[in-house]
Amino acid sequence: MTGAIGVVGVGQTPYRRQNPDKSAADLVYDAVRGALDDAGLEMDAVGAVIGGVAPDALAGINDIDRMSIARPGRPYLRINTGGATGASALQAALTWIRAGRADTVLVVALERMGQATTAQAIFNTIFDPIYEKDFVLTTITMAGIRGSMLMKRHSFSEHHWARIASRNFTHAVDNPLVIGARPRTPEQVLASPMLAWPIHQYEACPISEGACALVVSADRVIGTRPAAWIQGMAGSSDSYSMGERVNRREGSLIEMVPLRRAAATAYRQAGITDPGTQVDVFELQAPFSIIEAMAYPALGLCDVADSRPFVERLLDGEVGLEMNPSGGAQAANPVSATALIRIAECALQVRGVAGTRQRGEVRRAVATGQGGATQFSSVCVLGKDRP
Amino acid sequence: MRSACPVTVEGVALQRSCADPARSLPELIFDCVRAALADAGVRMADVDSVCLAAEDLIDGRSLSSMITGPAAGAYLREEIRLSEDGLAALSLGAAQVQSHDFERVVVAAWGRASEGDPQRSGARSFDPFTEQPLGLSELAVSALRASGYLKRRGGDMPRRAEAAQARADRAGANPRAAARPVRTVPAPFPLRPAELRTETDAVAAVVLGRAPAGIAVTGVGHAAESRHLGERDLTAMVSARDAARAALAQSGLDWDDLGVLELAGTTLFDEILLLESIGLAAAGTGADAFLADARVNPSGGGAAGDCEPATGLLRFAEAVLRLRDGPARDGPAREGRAMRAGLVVSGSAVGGQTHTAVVIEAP
Repeated sequence: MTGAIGVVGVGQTPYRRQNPDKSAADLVYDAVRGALDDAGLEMDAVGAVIGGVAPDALAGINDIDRMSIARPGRPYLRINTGGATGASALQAALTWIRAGRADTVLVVALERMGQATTAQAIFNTIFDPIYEKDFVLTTITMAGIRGSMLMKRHSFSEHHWARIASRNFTHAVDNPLVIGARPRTPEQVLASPMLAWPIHQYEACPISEGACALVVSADRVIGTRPAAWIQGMAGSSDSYSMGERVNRREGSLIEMVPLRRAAATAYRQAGITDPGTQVDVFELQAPFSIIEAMAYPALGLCDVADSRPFVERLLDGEVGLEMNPSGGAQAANPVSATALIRIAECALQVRGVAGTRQRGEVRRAVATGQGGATQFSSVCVLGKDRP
Repeated sequence: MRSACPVTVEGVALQRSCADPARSLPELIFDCVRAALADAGVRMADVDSVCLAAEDLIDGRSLSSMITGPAAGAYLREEIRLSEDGLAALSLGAAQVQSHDFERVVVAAWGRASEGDPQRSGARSFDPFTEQPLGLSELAVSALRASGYLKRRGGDMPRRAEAAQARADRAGANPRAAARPVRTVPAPFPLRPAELRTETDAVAAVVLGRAPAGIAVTGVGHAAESRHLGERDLTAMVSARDAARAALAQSGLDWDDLGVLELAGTTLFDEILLLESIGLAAAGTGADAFLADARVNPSGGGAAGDCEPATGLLRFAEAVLRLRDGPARDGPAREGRAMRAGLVVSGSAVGGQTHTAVVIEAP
């Protein structure tokens, strides 16, 4: 990476199921105003705007970003990589700055999925229309397939998924942006209705709307502003076909190969050799407990074979890592924005301004992004120290 | 003028087809990207990033790049997808090389009009309560633009039919043009059928890198205007004008240095108004300039075959091939200067709200 870049402004709306009193532009305005205020800047300092909106169908209107995010007089691009959209939008912003096209870029991700009457019916249409749509693949059943593999190969049980969910929902209570957050015990999670075996309702992310905005700047214009420095960021994409990923040399369907590759690159950029001791906080884009369990070995926190005992030690408080202080994507998952929210939360932690969810002195934090059929992955390392 | 970190076009390919029953959309994409790699003389293993432009509604999937991305080479490497015109993806791909984050980038864009009707998809971009009931579409916006232009002029556009014929002739001479449209659509007033584009299945792919010789990207411009049609002067095409000026200024060239101009619009009317908006023709003389200046849309423009969001990348590939193959250098003599540069301008939804412009130069 050439030239240091920092996150100098963060703005977020509350995340709730629907915002009947706000238009998409209202949500974007609230997030952008917050980010600019946080950075102490106005729009005239912004050299380009990068928007992030994922499936159009969720909002019920195509190109909703044109009305709500694009601004006259500013170069504008819309990024769409599914659930990884927010992180990809930040990557585009970093590219823009490093290419010398702007000193400051505004990144805005928006989700209006509360407008969709049946989100999972829409998610069914992300799969192959000939071979897969008809047997009701959705993002939930897609995760369920991975869950059953994890249970068969690594002896996970439904209780593990319930404990991860319980921890995330409990953390979300400290996050005032997660509207309606309430603590749930593992037993309550297991007692909730089964959506698609082995996923219970309280393990699955809720439908969430909201917007998140970041102001990112090159170091030459940051001055004395408190910044969360981007120490490393990388992404990787994988094959779509799940069957091709069950048995292959690079790693199986449950090994999150692209996340592992993205982490390896981002860690190398950041100088991280032992993430278990060199990273204080992780914000994982894991809308299901199953996805979070798969992410641990991919992020270098344990071996694949050791993933179940690692999860148990982590949940027992024996590992000393802070996972999802915000509650993570399981507590609020506005699809287009959720990967950017993970980065925003890490930026707040690094700057020490995460409020009730602050985890002490955080020198380094890692955010992940995840999209498609666990297919698009990104890893962003943020730190106090300028790289 | 070449920047300190030049981005060169190492390979291009474009393919137009018409509801090919033998190939799926991923196969169309794979074939075109493979052709671009072959043109560059590199393998996919030599590429470290893939930058895509695709539209979910046209591809018929809520997350198009899940299935189509790997066909473009997005397998275990960096990938990013824009819901924008393909020329915007080209711009971001060039920035990836300029940033030094990547050495070689594949940029690809596609649209299969035979499966996903781009006019129907585009209509979904308008407000469902206040605009969609009016039957607005990208084509309807072009018709509104034409109406405004004609009203402002107080009469019909001179030599309008001649310009349509000239465009058709240029497309007819383009060996890469679509043989036939996948469908025909009615021309909304005041547009005429000959002024519409040829809807086709299209894929374009470009390999960008740092090869020391070759056609270089030397100027990039972006601009945006209001989403609200009523807040825009539709005939002025402000974002196209600003993007073109920015790209040209960055390149250090002027209009006379350009040997090829590929100006993309929904209809011939848009292509002609682009000439006026970017300053290549005086107000009211766009059709004259279109006829007189062989540098303008030598590919045949929209008549050669088009489908969003491949539009801008198709035209970029056409411009590269034109410069590379030389016909543009043999174009009309302009003060004896060598014709070795090109300008490509293309817009995105809604109704050209945003535009990208790119200047390329041959060595």
